[in-house]
Amino acid sequence: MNKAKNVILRVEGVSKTFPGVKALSELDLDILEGEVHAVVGENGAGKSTLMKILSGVYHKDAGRIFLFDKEIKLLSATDALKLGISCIYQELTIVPLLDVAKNLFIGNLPMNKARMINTRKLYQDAKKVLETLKLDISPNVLCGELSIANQQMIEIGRAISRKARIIIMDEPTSSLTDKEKEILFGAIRHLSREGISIIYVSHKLEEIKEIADRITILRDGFKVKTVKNEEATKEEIVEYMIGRKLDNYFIKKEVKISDTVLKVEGLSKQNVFHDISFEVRKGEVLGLFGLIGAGRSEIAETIFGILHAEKGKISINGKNVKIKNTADAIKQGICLVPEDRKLQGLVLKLSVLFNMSLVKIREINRFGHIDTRKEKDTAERFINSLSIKTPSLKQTVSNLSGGNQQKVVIAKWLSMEPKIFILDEPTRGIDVGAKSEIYAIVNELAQKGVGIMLISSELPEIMGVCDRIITVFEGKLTASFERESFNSNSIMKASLGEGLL
Amino acid sequence: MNKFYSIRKKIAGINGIIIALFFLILIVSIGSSKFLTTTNIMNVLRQTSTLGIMAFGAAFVMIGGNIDLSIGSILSLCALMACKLTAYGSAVAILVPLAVGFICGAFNGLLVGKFKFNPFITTLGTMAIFQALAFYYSDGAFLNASDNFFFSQIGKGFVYKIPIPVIILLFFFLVFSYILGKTVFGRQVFAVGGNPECARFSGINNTKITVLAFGLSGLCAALSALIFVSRQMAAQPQMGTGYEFDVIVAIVVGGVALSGGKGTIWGAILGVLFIGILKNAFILLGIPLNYQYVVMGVILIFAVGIDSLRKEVK
Repeated sequence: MNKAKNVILRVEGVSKTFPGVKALSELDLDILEGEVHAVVGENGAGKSTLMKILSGVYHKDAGRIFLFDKEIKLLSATDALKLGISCIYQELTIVPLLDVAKNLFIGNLPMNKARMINTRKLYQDAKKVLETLKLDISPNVLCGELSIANQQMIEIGRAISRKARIIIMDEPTSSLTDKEKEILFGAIRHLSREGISIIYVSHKLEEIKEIADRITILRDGFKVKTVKNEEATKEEIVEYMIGRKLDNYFIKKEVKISDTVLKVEGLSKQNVFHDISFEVRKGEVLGLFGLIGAGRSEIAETIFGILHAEKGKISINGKNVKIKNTADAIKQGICLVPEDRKLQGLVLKLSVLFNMSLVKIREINRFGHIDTRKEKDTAERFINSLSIKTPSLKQTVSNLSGGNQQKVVIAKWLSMEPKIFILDEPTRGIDVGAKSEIYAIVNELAQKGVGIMLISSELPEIMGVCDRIITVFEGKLTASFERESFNSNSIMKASLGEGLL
Repeated sequence: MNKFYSIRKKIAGINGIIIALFFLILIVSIGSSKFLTTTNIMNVLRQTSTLGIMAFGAAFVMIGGNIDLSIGSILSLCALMACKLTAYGSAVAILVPLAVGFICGAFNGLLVGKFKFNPFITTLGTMAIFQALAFYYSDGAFLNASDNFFFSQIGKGFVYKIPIPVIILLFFFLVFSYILGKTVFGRQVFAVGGNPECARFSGINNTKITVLAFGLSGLCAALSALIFVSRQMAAQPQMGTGYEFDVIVAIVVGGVALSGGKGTIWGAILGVLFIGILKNAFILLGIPLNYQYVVMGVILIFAVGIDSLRKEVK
């Protein structure tokens, strides 16, 4: 990466208070021209507040912001865009039914004198932007037809089309495969060479170590420190983030593994997965590793009765079972913590209590009457045992942090006393502290003799937590690894379909 | 501090309708000396009982994430049936229309829940179909009920000076509050309306819940029809026309979210009282019919506007 020199953006003593919370306290930060500056911290550390202040969405309460030594006022997102600060949010804002060129210049379309769109200029400019990004797609293609990674590139292209000097990216790899991530990183490096500064907000330390020049760590609204990438190890950064030492990030306890609880034989669904056979034993944590789209979630959803296989058998404790819907699966003691907690796991606008007892109420009722005392007791027990941080049971669940939301989803299922517990990307988008708590829950369940399936696209996680890993590639199982023979290289290769065993 | 905040939050949910109701009562009682008399209050309550019962059913549908426009037509159809069937005794005249109301509703529910048809368009269609059935059933004519003492008591009777329809309303208020708040079915309605995907991932049969919610709505419309017929001992095929509008205004004003997953029976009845008192005020204060519709329309838009504003703020 290039030798950055000039300070392009300087933040001095910026503070922001929300009712009851000091989200940012006297933060100082400087961004150099052409540097990739990572901002890390747990949820609630102030990353998104900082981002939103810089992009003009929030107004700071105190402090000053300088662009090239000139103080700037950011009163709206338009101000920020005009000054060359663009922000790319986690949720993409692509319009699927417009083509690439129009998406690139949306809100900024070149006009001719009659205030009509200057189509020729539009497509010429679009081509230029695509060339800058080294993207080999036609400006005429509809954006909805692009892969997620390419859609994200279009967002970056949008920033370039607005002559952005600083691009802020929020968790840009959260929905990308490893290959797509490499393309993104290529683009970031390229932009940085062109002198554009990137503020890279992320949870994923591996990525940050790979891409960042400097790293600023936030905790509870304060800046802990800014370090050069080579000056701090991952462990040190984690320590700064959580303010304590995490000796054993992935705790793995010895558990006696006994009989097979779940057996899947020859499960097939056309164009999704083929001839899937595996088994999970009591107390065992089985990892399912593969790229997004390889069919991992679909296999889990089939076992849970959301999808239906055309062929194959599922047996539980040696008995063949037919699972037509999720109610059947729950009756058999199968639980699924789904991939998308906001869409599939929670009713966001309702309370913590409601969400926690959504499954349990089937048990604590007589002729449909819910025993509300029992309901509350159960919920409170899980609030304590999982240390869910919420002001009350009545709190709307969308107000909780990601980690606590995920714990509510887990609590919903734990109250069922499951036999088979499937977790699909349970730690996506949640902070380090909550992650290790979720691993602890997985361990505890294993000790109780529950058979566990963990789906993850984070290799360190799956290697840290599982007893056995099977890899999926394009809907087929490619390999199986015992804990003693875990090797990140061969697992990765198997998940990419190379060197099939 | 914290406690104060939580109380304020609790009130914030329905304070709008309570304040509105308070001011409405204040204004009308200043404007007309007849308003706060026992006779008038009982009158208002009796007139709102039919609207109220329908609103309870419609609230289940809306909290479940849908909307039911066909209830006015179901009311007409069931009222005509009840009229004709009084010839065969009270039991038949009560039970058959109730069953038909439930089936009409469940039919809506099946189209919306099982086949994923758009609820607005579906019930707009069945509104026309049920209306046509009502015309067909009565040959487009006015029907008179046969004399039947027991049946006529539903709408006309009193218990200790309290009209029986008011008692029926109160009874179903308690029943539906209980069902929505404290039963598995009630919870599942909230889940399906709040996030159908999550409901499915939690072992809930969304189709079943939707069919039942619509069925309940149809049943409530039939119940209102019985009260109507019993009071007038007559029915005509267009008697329910426009009722869906009043009901939807009432429950939206009462804080039931159009997007589903939010609302209470308590709020629904407050909304119904608001509409009932408003209509009573129109008469007492001698406001022409044209203006009544304008006022109702403005209130509906205002209530929906507040609902979306709240979401914006969040």
